[in-house]
Parts: sequence; structure tokens; C-alpha cells
Amino acid sequence: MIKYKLFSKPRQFINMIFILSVITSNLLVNCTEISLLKKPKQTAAVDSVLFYQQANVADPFIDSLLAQPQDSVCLKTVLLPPPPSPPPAFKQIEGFRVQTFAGSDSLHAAVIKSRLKNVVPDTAYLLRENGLFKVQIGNYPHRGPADSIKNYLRKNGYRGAWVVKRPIFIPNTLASDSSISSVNYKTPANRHLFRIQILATSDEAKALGLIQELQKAFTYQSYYLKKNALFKIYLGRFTSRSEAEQALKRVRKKGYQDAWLVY
Amino acid sequence: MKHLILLFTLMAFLLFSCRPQLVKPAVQPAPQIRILLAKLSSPDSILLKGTFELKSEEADYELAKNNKILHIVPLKNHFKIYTDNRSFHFFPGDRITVRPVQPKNIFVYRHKNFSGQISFSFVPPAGLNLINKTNLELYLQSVVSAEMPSGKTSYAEALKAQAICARTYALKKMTGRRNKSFDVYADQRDQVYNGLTAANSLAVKAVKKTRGDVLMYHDSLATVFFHSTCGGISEKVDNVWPDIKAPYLQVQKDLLGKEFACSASPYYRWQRRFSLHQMDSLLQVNFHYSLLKRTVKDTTTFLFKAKILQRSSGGRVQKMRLSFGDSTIYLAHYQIRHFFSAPSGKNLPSLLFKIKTIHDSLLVFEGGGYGHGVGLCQWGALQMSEKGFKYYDILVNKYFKGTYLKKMY
Repeated sequence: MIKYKLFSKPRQFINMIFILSVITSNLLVNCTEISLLKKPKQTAAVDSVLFYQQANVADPFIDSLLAQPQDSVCLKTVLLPPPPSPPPAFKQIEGFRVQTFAGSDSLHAAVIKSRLKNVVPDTAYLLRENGLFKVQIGNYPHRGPADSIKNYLRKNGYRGAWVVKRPIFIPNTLASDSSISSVNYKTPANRHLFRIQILATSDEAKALGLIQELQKAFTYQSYYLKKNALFKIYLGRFTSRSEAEQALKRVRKKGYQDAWLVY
Repeated sequence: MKHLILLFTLMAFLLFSCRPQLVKPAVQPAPQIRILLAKLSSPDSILLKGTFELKSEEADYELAKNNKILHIVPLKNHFKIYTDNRSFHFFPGDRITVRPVQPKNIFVYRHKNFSGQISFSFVPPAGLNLINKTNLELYLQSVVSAEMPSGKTSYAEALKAQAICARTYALKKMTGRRNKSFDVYADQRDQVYNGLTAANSLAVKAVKKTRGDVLMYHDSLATVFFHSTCGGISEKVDNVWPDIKAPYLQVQKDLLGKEFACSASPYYRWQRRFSLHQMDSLLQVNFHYSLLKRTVKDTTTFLFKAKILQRSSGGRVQKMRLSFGDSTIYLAHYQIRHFFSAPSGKNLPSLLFKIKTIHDSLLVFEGGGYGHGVGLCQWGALQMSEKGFKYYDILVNKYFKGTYLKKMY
């Protein structure tokens, strides 16, 4: 009867639909939160493993350190004295150069230097000293060769060439030769030597000419000593008489018959 | 009938409106930490990813859009900050902050990504501290990744223990340095911080799981220390830092069953050898003194003596004497580790060693462990984690006995 009445009146039917929709919507909205209210499943609480450390574990390393050892060690090595240092390759001595130019014009100096390369076989230096540019030819450990180059240059247009004394470097192998260590050729340091005297003359120019000639002819060093207004021209220095005599033979063969040995 | 329907509807409403409400707990935000990224003495730059604003005492300026380079130039008694379109001059007292407009915006400094804001503090006469202020939890994610191996899932508990240690350490530093311009250094002086990119997923998880947890002793934060490998025995804190007193940091064997907890560490036992020539170069570097480069006139036998004068209660060397020729050098604590450093520059791993010689020509260090030996042994914690121990056991029951855990936020 009721059922019939409910469905028989359209208004009641609408009311019923409305109520049902409200209930379902309420249920739908709340169902998510209802699920939140659900208590999580009871599971056994995960805990640390039961563990009781009882025995002391022995460790030789740690136990030895806990005994507070005061270790002491000693290291040895042998120190050797340093080996003697090798001799230097070059040695500085007082020597000679032939100066051809000194002036404030560097360009001029450079031109002279480049020209000199074709005039003399020795090295031409361009240096600046005391505010001046200088062109020098060298190096000569003895004055004799320097003088001969100077004369040669003067003849070839370098009228201002002159010999200057200055420190020069020479290879140590040459320095061991006692003849070179004697800086000034006029007073050779080592007098206890045999040498060949070629000539004694009062004319210096002749002496110098002869020296130049001897330099071309022999490998021995030629030089002169001035003694009592005489220029004595010598050739070479020899440590033994036999060596000197052999050299004397060669000199005489070349035409210097008057050469003799002096000590 | 109509009344019945209305009643039913009302009942339904009442039933569902009176259901119990779920109240989500309010999350307290993590504190902000100030990290010194670098001390600048020459021009440097930062790449800004996203919009940032420069905040000074006078005004706020928007620093352009994406990927703009912020140039910083420390100068004598002032400093300069500029981008492509703006330039600012500041003086020592000025408080300058560069903050992201949105929290997701990051900046890149020396190829590392960072979040949070940048601030500058002038260091006379011409230096500039570059400080990053960021969320403590984000900072910890990077720190835990950098400070501990985080490659295995079985290390999770050890990582949690490390996270709590790092958080406690950072919070204690934040309290201690409240009046300073920054809280922590970004390197080994405090904790290694390599920015956001360095964070490992396991470490991130460990930090999130222990959010806000710290170690407490009595009413204050515990003093925590950690190191790589204790070598089998931990050290008492005042043997290393005499000013610090912490009864929970004592000498104890780091045992786990029938073995030592950190025995898996590559530094559990180590050996270092030094020839006289190596020691000669060490002396030249440290004391400008040469043993062997001395000129002798005759063949001379030269002696080099090393003696351990004092050890701590944990067996670690505290004082050492080196004698050679007519000179004597005394080395103490960290100086020993620093002096006997390898040619690569790495210091001696620890002070837990004994010395011996081989053929009177080699000085041999036989040692154990890596680090100072105080507090948490990281390799020991990793081993415990693998065996199934939980983080609170690692901390409260093992390495910091007498402390307790507390949630700070």
C-alpha cells in the first residue's frame, strides 16, 4: 500500500531519490576517511637482534698497545764526502783584444763589426761599456798576436785600432798550458824553460815582422823580450832539453840557421 | 510519511557528521643552517637557476631571469656584486642576501648545486665569506652521503645513526656559533657538504626517517664525534681534545661478537714505510732542515732515532721524539700524523700505531684505524647495521652509552 503510494505520487518519488542520493554521496565522501580510521595490521615490531657482548676478545696488536710500550728505533746511514768538483771548463785571465771602434753610435759600431768579420778570422765583439759602444777583436792571451792583428788592421784602413787589456775567458785545457797563464808576453812567468832564440835586434819593427813570419811558419808561440835596447825574439817553450833540441832542428831546417837554444 | 523521510535524512546527516575526525599533526619546520661555502679573496661567480632577489637594507632588487651569472668581487674595504644588467657596491657593514623567489630555485657554485639563500659577510681587509643558508634537513642529506659509504641497503641503520650524529653536531654548532656570521664550514673542519647533487637516495631516506632526532645527554645536546675506523679501540675524548668533557666518550674495545666491529674497513690495519731519504724530504718540508744534504769531510755514520714518549689510555701515540745528528724534534698529537704524511700528501691514518725498523734503513709504522678514534666508528656502525642492529642500538647502546634520543622538531 505504502509502496504504491510512494510511487503513485511523483513528488514523493522525487523526495526519495533526493534522500538516497544524499546518503550515497555522504558515504562516498566519507569512505576514504573511514579507511584511514582502520587500524594498521598488527605486525611484530622489528627490533635489534638480541646481543650481549660478554667475553673480551684478545687482539695482539691492541693488547700490546694498551700495555703502553715506548717503542724506540734507530736508523743508520753512511754519509760520504762529496766527490771533488770537476774543473771548470773555462778560466778567466787577463788577456788582450784589439779595439777598432769606441763611440756612442751603436749603428756605426754594428756596421764596423759586420765588416770586420770579413777582414780578420778572429771573433769580433760589440759591447757597451761606460756608455760607449765598442768593437773589439779577440781574444788573445798574449800581446804578440794582438799587436800583429792591430798592425794588420791599421794597414787595412782601421787606423784607430789599438790593443786593450781586459779579462778574457780561455778554455781550461789551454789554461793548463803554462805558457798561456803568463799574461804579459814580455815577462813570461815560467823562466825555467828551454826556448829557441831566433834573433836579437834593436829594430822593433823588424822584430815584430819576424814574429809574424814565425807565427805563420810554426805552431810554437813566438814572442820577444826587450833587454838592454835589444829585442830578443824567441820561439816556443819546452820543458825538456831533448824536446827543445828536436824543435831546434826543425827550425834550422826551415832556414833559421842562427837559431840556438837558451835556458 | 513525509515526516518519516525527513527524520531519516536528518539521522543520516547526524550519523556521518559525528564521525571521528583525523587530525594531522602540525609539522614544525626544520631550522635553517648557515654554511660557509668559501672564503673569497679573488673574484668569483655564481650561476643562478631561476629568479633570485637581492635584498639589502635599502631595497630589494630582482636579479633577472633564468641562468644569470652573479659576479662577486671582493675589494679593499668594500665589495662589488654585479650581473649583466645590474651592479652594486657594498661596504663591510652591509647585510646582503640573495634569496630565491621560489623555493625550488637553485644556484650553482663551483659545479655544485645548492638550495636556499646566499649571504655575504665582509672579512677585512679584502675578503668575503660566501654563506649558504638552507634547511638543516637538506644539508644533512648531503652531509650523510658525503661522510659515510651509502651504497648498500643494509647500511640503512648506520646511515640513520650517522644522520642523527650529523644533526646533533650541526645543531650544537648552531647554538655555539649563534653570534658568528656562519654556523659550519662546508669541509672537514666541520662536515663535508657538497650540495644537493651529492645527496644519495639511501642517505636521503635515512635523514627523512630520523627527522628531528638528536642525541641528548642530560638536558643538552650531546657532544658527538665520528671517524672512519677506530681500529678496534675507541679513544677518550679528553685525550684528543683536553677541553671537552663527555663521560660517554670513553676508551672501549669496539667488539661485535667474536670480532672487532670495524674489521671490514680497509684501514683496520695498515702499514707505512719511510726511508731515510723520505724522512729527509719530510724534514725539509716541515722544518727546513736536511739530514742528508750536509757536507762531511770524511765518511760519517749518521743515526736517526725515533722514540714514542707518551701514549693515551687507548694506546694512541700522544708524544714522539725524533733525534738526528745534534737536533731533536718533539711531535705531539695531530702533528705526528701530519709530519709522517705520504708523498701524495695523505696524513698518517691514525695515531694507533707502533714503530719498528727494517735493516736499520726503513722506519715502519704498523697501525690500525683511520681518524681520531673518538665517538662513532663509521665502519663499526656499518658492520652493526649489516648484522641487523638498529640505529638507536648503534648510538645509545654502543658508541654513546649514557645518552638518549630526542625529537627536536
